[in-house]
Amino acid sequence: MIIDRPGSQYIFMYSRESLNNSSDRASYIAYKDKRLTNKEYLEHWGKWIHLDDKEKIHDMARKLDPYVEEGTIPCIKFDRVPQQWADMDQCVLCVYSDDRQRNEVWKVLSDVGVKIKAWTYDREVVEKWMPGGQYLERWITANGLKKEEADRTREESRQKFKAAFFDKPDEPCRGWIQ
Amino acid sequence: MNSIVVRISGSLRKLTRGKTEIELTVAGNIADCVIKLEEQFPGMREKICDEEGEIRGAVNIYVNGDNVRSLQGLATTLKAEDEVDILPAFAAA
Repeated sequence: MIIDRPGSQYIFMYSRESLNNSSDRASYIAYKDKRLTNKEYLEHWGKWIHLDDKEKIHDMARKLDPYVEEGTIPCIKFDRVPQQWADMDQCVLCVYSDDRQRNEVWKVLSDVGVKIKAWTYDREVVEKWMPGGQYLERWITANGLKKEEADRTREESRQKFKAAFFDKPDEPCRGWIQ
Repeated sequence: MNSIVVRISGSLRKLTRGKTEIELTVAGNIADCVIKLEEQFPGMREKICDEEGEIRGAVNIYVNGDNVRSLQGLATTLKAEDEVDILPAFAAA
């Protein structure tokens, strides 16, 4: 099911079953029906990345919706428009899964015509959104934040990931706000 | 010599005049692949590698889906029919 919240850069896709699970909004972060802990998330969770023009990415997302619904693909995130802060000229579609399931997910992507084959672990992404990380620092520069604002943003980012992952390694992973 | 496929995404497509998939015959590793790309598309090497000859932070190179930074970087060996993807690093953000 495509979850399009106006105003958000990203459009998300989850199964109805996952969305209807009001007691656990991140139930899709699992492997073989077992929820991942924060520690397991950082070890195993990642995404296949696909880039293309906006219309093609949005078409591809619609094609993949049945696979999300049936649970073969746990979650998808894609850009509404190319991300200007990152100087991107194409939209990105991220297809998430546990690395132990990634070949099965890749088979689906390949069958619907995806050629680009690029896997990234979420631990690498988290690291780059931490203070001093490539993404956060670029975002700060691109948005022209003054020193105080930039320092506050860095601290907020550090706290967000600390609370989300590092303080409770054995708790079920709830993901992070994007 | 191995025949491989290289796919180019993002702004690097400007150097390939919009071509996104390139077949190359390369001798051994990713560094050889970059040299071959430079021969066909001048300026490519400078976009991919920095002054020290390392892969730029703004670029990710994948072989059969895996980032070469987690393999052997530019020394990552290529074999026949390998698939190489070159993406802007910010695509993974």
